[in-house]
Amino acid sequence: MELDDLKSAWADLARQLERRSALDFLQLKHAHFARLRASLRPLYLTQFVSILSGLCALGAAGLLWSSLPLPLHLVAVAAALQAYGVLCFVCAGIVLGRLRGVDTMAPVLAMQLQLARVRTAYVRTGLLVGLPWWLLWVVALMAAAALGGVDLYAHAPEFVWISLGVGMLGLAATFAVWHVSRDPRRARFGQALDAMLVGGSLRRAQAWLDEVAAFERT
Amino acid sequence: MAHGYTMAAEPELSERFRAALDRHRGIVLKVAASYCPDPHDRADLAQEIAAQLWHAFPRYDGTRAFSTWMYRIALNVAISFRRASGRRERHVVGWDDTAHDVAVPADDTVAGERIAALYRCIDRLDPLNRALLLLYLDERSQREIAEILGLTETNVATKIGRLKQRLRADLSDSSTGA
Repeated sequence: MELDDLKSAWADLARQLERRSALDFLQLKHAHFARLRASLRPLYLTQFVSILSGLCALGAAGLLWSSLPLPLHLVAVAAALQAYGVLCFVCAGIVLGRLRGVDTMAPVLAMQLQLARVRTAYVRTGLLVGLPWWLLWVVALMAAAALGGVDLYAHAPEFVWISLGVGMLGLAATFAVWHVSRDPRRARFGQALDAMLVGGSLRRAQAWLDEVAAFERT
Repeated sequence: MAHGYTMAAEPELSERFRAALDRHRGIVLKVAASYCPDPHDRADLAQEIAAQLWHAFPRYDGTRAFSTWMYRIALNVAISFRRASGRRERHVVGWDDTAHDVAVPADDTVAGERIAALYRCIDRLDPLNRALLLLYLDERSQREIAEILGLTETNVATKIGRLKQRLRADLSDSSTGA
């Protein structure tokens, strides 16, 4: 079989598809777009949650700032919440911005790169917004208590320090495990960890970016 | 997602779209057949492509070739669809007559065998090279392929050269192995 035979096969296939196709393009309904929108919904929903978290953090920080003067530890709590609120907005902004940039009419390589970058940004910002919760839950608890008129640190400083210590250990352990998993000798462990933490999404998005780049280059 | 058109303009737009799609429906069918061996997936993909085309149609620049615009969208949707539905390119999918239901017509076994060989070649390619093969087999010009894929014409020529070499090797392996 030669290349010309493949072209003939292609023409045969096209004829058969035309003949056998049961597709009725005239049946396109608006309902179909609901499915398209639904496929993007989880991505948008996560950003909505991130913005909502940011708003809550900024709101709580604002309420704390309005109660000035505050003891030093509550100033730190308000500052941490404000920083986290801004971080949530920035992260959601990055993903939404990249989502807006995806254009199905763009050349194939350009669009596939755009999609892989959205996926990469989605996973990375997700980690950035999620990991601080090792410590942030203590901060949130202190803020909630303070807004309810109770200074948690003044009443139970041991609880605050122990919780922060445990959070720091958790955060350090997460980074240590991640660092170990990047060792090429532990590739299988790294893949398993990626799959556990981010469902392998980041690795797949990165692999796709590499594949597109390799196709462009070679 | 905004539709980008008003309800008042929709009937006229819809008519223009249907006419254009009907003239070039072969592109949708061929792209769907190249990326989905399973008939049900293929029908889903074809519908998905048609829906995306309809969605993008209000932004179509009438001064450019409709087929080029259509190929870009169809291939973008097909590659994403394929990657989202189980990443089967990572595993070589063996030839399966029941899966490729269009491949073996009862009335023409020679054509059936040729199509089977074509599908075996397609199955071995990654999504991007598959797009290149599809455009090459469809006898699109190098300029048009470059425009669709977002490569330079020189790059397209090099890639097509390599693809032909690879196909020749695959075809010769199949014939010696048979």
